[in-house]
Amino acid sequence: MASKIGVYICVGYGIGEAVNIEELSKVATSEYKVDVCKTVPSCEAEDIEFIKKDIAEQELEKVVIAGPSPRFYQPKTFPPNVIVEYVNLREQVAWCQPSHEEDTQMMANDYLRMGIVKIQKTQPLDPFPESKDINKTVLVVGGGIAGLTAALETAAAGYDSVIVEKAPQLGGWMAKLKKSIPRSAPYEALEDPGIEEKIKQVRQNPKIKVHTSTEIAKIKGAPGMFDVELKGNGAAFRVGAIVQATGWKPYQPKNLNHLGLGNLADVITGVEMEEMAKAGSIKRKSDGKEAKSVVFVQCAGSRDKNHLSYCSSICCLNSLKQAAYVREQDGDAKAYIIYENLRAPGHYEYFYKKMQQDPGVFMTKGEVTGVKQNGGSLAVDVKDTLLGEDISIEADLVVLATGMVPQSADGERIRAIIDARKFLASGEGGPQVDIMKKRIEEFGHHEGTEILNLDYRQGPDMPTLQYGYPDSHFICFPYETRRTGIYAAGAVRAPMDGLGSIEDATGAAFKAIQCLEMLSRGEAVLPRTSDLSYPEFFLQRCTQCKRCTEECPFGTLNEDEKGTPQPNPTRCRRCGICLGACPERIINFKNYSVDMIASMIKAVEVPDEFEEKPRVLILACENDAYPAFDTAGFKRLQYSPFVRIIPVRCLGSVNVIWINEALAKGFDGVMLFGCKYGDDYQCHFIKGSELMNTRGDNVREKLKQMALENERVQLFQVQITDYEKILSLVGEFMETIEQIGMNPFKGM
Amino acid sequence: MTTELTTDAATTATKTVKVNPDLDFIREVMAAGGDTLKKCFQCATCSVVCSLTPDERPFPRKEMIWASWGLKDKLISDPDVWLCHQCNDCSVYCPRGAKPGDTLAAVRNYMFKTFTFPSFIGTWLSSPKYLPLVFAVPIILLLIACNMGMIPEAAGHGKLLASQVHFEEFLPHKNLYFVFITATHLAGLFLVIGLVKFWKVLGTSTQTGAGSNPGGPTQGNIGASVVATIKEIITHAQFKKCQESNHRYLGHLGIMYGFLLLAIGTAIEIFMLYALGTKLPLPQLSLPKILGHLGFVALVAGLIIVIARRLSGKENVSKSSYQDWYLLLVLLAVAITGQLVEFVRYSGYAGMAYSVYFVHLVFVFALIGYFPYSKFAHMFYRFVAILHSKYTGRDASVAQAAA
Repeated sequence: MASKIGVYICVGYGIGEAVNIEELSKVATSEYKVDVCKTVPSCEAEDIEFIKKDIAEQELEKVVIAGPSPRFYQPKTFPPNVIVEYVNLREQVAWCQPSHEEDTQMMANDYLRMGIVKIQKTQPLDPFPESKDINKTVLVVGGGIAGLTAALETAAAGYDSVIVEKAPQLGGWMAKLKKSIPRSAPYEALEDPGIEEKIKQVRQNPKIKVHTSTEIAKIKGAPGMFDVELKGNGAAFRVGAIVQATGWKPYQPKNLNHLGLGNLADVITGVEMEEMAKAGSIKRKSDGKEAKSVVFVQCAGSRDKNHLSYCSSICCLNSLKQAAYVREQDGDAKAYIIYENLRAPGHYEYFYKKMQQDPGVFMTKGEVTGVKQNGGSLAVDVKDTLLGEDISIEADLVVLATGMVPQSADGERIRAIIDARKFLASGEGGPQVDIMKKRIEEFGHHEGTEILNLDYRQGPDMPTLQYGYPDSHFICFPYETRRTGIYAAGAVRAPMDGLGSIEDATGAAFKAIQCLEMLSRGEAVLPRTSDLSYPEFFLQRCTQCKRCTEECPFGTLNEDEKGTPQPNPTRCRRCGICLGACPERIINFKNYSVDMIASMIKAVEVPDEFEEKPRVLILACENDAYPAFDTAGFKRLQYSPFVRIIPVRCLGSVNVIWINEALAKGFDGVMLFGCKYGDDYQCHFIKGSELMNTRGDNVREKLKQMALENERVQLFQVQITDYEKILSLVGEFMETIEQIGMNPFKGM
Repeated sequence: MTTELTTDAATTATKTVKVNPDLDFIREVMAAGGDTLKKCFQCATCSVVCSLTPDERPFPRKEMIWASWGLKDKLISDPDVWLCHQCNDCSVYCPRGAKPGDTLAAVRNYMFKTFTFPSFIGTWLSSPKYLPLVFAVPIILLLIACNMGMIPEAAGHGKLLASQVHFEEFLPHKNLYFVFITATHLAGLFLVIGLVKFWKVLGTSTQTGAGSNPGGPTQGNIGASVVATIKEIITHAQFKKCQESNHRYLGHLGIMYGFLLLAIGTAIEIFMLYALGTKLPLPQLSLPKILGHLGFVALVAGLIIVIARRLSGKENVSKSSYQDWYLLLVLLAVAITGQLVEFVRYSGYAGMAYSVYFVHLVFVFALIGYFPYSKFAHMFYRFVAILHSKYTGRDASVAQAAA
């Protein structure tokens, strides 16, 4: 039975002046014969109250509000049992098109048609069934400062947690420090690392369980229902979310022979220096003589494309701290710091200034070109110094400030090796054999590095970025990773110091708790926060092509032996990339489906060839491109009246069938607006726009079949601030269409 | 082409220099007024705002890192330290509060004892804790020199006419000359030895020696260099360019000319006394008296300007060191006690004149008995350094820019 539908047309904000409301109402009443169609003077609070009252009186189940952009409204304004759809007549019609024009009217009419069709195809939402059975314990992997903080913060919020630590003791790197860099105002004096106190608090907290000398054997399941199995003690338990705080390991600089590490006894790393200082006094390794002249070499194997390309952010501070050790030990000792750029971020600038004041601390920008043995001591050659000449310093010890490498595992690479080994074991021949062998060779060093040992189709750990840090959009979504319910904190997420790790772990613990609470309400986590929809699979028609399981950026889907996807709604972020990927179109959401968008496209009235009114379909990412069009309207920038914009969850959720439908319907072109992709992607769903780009092969195939020009379908990478660029792209595209002519399939 | 490149590389390759910071030097310069020097992070704002620096290898940026690295040899051989007149434009604009102006002043103060034998006297003059010793020496020497029998009278405030006051009887001139001529001649000898050393050391400077700014009119011509140096000092041509504390230029000018007038007046008096046989006291309208009074006014006015600015804290960001105060206050004391001697003598309480005369002579000794070791010596070192930089072409570009 069809639901009772109401349409409310807002005539305020200039909409009433731009279009003929009577004519527009006819679309609702005559074409679609909706149950109620009314106008409201605007969409401010009292109008919304009027609509809400009317909904109740008329017993409406579905409501279309044609007025401002959907981004204008507060969420959860309307009762949950009412389905609401917003048609954007303000920003994307009245504010960007001339008034009283035929084309403007046609545009408004089409948008209303699409809105009504969309709501007709929308079904009511229910939380996924698993939401009733969400475990709310947090697993913390790693017992260093980040892990301990995450557990304590989780406990403070009233949730249970379990720490799993590989080493026999808790404390991590902090327990190995003699002193910490200053952590409180005035940021001048070295502090006690204070880790014993944290360990004590953890040990005494009844809400925290600790497993030391233990690693994870297996984690099965999904957020809210992870089944964890430990190595060693064999303990098995269920948790809801995971904080990975596995920290860092020191970079071992190879191929830095000129710095003498490994060849000269008195050339050591910052980590070795710390050990020595903690053990007692700072001495030459060669003869045990107290070190009176120590040269610190910054960026040893950092910010160098042959080593670590990035800055570890703490090495400069660490050397300043160790220079203080040297100076404390002997008032006549000298500590030299040779840097490329001395970096003391934030309040640590005060510590740098404090150390700078010490008469026995000498700093200069410069490049260390060689370290040589010179009798009992070392000669350190430095070029391009601030002293205006190349210098040579006599040193008892040379300390190389080496960077941090995350204690992570690259799940994608590990999976690739596992798959390659399986393939070779199967005895299948062909050109694949060489490819698989090469893959094992290339990724071999990832073998045996598993940490979480997740039972995920896409690999046992989180996918990492090029530097080995777990992939996450660090500005928009800190702590989030590409595995829902698993949050990275501390030095495994980004290079950072103890203070940063404390802050990070607190954030990650909060994220884990938030995730568990949202899952228990059946809602999605960031970025589609609170979304109740989830993908449903009509598996009877699945052809086991595995595209959905391969393409999901979050590893949501596992497969059975045959390759049929096994949905995990608690792992899902609702981006719809699976919907876009599925050639059988069997993956759909109750409020976002292949049929729905296709029907909306079909609802547009395409004038025939002789009217010379082309039509261009714009599928715009709702996160960046769609708001950019709104901004253009807000700034009253005009653009072609021949475009019809449909927001999509992500460009990756675009099913190629929609493009085909549009071309068959007579649209003259399709513009796809998504986010930037590549190493520095801006896609909310990691690789949505990139995936759409690769699906372009299928599109071109279809264009070829239809004997249409490739230029008719184009993908553009834009961001939310690109409203001017978007309009010029639209202008250029319309010119292209004019040049290549109308789509010959119009009216067929 | 290849050969050319090789030659280029060979000639432009800089020699690696062994550096070994002198921690004691850093501590001493920090104690002598350069306590902020370590704050420098080499942004070069100082060299950019300086109106006095040559364009090539400008100061004071390089001096700041040499100081913070304790590279004493580089600093003491650096004429640029003396091309600085401590305008403090650099200190005002320094974003880190490193006060390059104060640092260079501290280095200058440090240098007197480095070059002048015996260096322990330099040490006496570098810290207030030696002040009793510094004054004990002239007091003892002058007590020995004076006529012991007259001390009760001098102390007794007996009422006498001005013409009845005979300083000659209280402190016989031959004794006085013995003390002062011996002291100043010895000091002068040590100063000359120090300056010769200084000249030689300036010649070893690799950074700022000959050829930094070649081609100036004074380069290689010692006569022209001396004339140019004297001209610069008389006119305060460089000092005048200071922006942030241009009052110092006026104050310094007053002090310098006041001192010169007093010195010339004294010379004429001695000439009249011994060559012409004129009897003391001289009439008020005699040339030495007129010059002396004019000099007194200029000197005290200059001192008041400088001291008031330093006390009011308006000396911008500069801090006054012990050596600054020693010279200023001793100068002031000499001027005031000198004038007092005259006033008291004519006041009718002339008995007290002996005491004031004694005190005046102690301060005179403090000024000229120690001159190669105190900041007083700056006029000689600065003269030599400016002369050297003109002779070697170092400040040619400045001279040309000024012209």
